[in-house]
Amino acid sequence: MARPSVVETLHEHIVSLRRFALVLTRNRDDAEDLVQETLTRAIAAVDSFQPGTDLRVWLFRIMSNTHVNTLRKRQVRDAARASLPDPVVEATQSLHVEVRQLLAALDELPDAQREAIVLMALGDLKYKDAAQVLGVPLGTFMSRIARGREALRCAMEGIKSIRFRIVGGSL
Amino acid sequence: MKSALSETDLAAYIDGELSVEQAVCLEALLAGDPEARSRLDAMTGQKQMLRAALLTLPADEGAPRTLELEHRLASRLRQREQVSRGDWMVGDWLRRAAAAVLLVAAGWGGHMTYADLSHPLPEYVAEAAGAHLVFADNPLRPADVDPTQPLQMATWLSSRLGKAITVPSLEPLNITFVSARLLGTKEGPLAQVVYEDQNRHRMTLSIAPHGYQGNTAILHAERDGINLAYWSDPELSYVLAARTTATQIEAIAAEIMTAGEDAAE
Repeated sequence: MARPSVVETLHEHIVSLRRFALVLTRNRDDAEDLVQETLTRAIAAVDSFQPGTDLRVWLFRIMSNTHVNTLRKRQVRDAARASLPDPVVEATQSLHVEVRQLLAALDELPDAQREAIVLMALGDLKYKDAAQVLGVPLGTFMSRIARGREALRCAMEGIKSIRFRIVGGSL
Repeated sequence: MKSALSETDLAAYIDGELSVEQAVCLEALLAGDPEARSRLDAMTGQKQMLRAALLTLPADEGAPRTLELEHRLASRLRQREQVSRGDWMVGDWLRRAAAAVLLVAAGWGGHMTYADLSHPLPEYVAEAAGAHLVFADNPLRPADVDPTQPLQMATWLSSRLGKAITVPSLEPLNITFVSARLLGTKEGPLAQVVYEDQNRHRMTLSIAPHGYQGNTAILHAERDGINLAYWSDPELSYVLAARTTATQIEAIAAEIMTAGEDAAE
């Protein structure tokens, strides 16, 4: 059977890249800049793409590298900003309160864990591919995702138990 | 009691990283570990919730410049795929290429329309007669014509086909000329040019004169895993065959067609 051209999936991947960029940069303009820089690098490095391999993994990896380089250049310009990413807030205003709590908890995680969790939620990648995207050994990636998930779970449990106490407190 | 199941085990289960055996084993452990089960359920729910939230991020539309970059990347990726390795025919390519040529030959010459190519008739008797006409009174190839020299082959094949043909260079696509040969079909002589990519996967270009108006656009067919692109100019019909994708075969065909048009100008 003829394999479809990867080009057909490109647009879909760019939409995923933009979502990842929104979470990475926490800012709509920076996210679009990051997408553009990623595409520019991809065009220049197209020979490093091996046809038959996962285009998405290749693109995400370029984006992750680009993001790391940009961060280094800016010396973590906005590192102090602890609030939720604006676009994420805007987009999720209508969502269930629990989803917003989850996003807030996600935002409290160390960047490395947050990126690993977002990547897996967005991409359904295999661990080895996700580790490659983030440029870390497989074991490191597995540890980040496991610790991040557990931290999220505990945070959400904490929120629930607080809510439960308040309800209980009215008795 | 401390659970025997680590966070890494649970995460790997959620992310589909476990083999079937490992997953069955983990599920058996979970059955006796309600605390781990509830942690797993919470984390699974959170992954799904997060995915749903991320998918609501408005990300479908970017800046015009992003779209322009997307188009440029798409075009570069297409070129990259054209010259890609790894999915052209290997091993029994000769048998399959021969089958592809027979398929093509059955519809060759203007008696049948191109659409009939998808239902060729195995007219082996007619083929045998055609081969006889082409080769019985002529050598398979004169001793002084080197099949690995594209210019010599083009000259000799042109004389046998009765029409001037060129052997297109596909070097810009990293596809090299291997050799050419003359085949006899029931419709008469047919020139077959063999190319290969950097991984030695083969592609053939068949060229034959036709008796109809010609000038058809590139059409595509697939048979037995071989992708075929075929088209014609006013005098000759062309068929490109390789075990590759429809996109690649059509892109290479377009390159050959364009090169032919440029040469004719």
